[in-house]
Amino acid sequence: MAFDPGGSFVEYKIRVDTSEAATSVSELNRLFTTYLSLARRTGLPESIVDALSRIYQLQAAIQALYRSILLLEAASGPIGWAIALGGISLSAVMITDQALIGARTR
Amino acid sequence: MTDIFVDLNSGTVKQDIAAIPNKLLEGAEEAILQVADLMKGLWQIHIRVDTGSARDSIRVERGGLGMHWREVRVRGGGYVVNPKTGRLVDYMGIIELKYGAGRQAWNEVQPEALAIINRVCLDQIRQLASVTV
Repeated sequence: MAFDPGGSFVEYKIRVDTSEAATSVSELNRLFTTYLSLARRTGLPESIVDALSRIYQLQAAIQALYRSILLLEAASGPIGWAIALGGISLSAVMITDQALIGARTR
Repeated sequence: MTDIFVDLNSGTVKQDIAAIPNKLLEGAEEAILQVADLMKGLWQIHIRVDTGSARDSIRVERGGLGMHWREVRVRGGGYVVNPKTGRLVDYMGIIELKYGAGRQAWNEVQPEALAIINRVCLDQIRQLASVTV
């Protein structure tokens, strides 16, 4: 959360960042490709390929991606609070300006 | 926990997996817009009302975008003229510090945020041909 220099507005910024997800999925894709080409090269029967199609690891990967999804802008300031929720990186930080703090404390 | 299955026999599996980050980003963007709308509503409920100008000034704005990130803002203050003072709402920072209605709204919206993100992101991933959720 941020205040403008005059304290006239309050703002919460909600930001999502999937950079980490992109990296994880890129690695996942590489593993899938290797796995699938090996399976086909070794002539595994269709039933085995079907079995391979249930890749539970992806579920864990997706769940891990969620953790990197939602971020509220982290910032520093003379007054602040941070809130964390479960495994999701979710925080709100309140910033105020010196002028406003001065007005409160004088 | 949601089960996600990938059909390796599908011809589009590689493209589908590669598309997951973009799908997540689309879903996450939609989710934070929903979260922001919810937070706006809660903030408007909790804020102390005199003329109602401060309440009416609370709004959702799109922030910015990058290759891997999106941003929305829930903002209160400015925008609306207070009929008593004849000026734009220029006291939002002070009433937020005093009563914390925005913070309260934020606290309340967090559990909902988790549910919204899960639902919207999975909806996006479900659109991929080789993925079953």
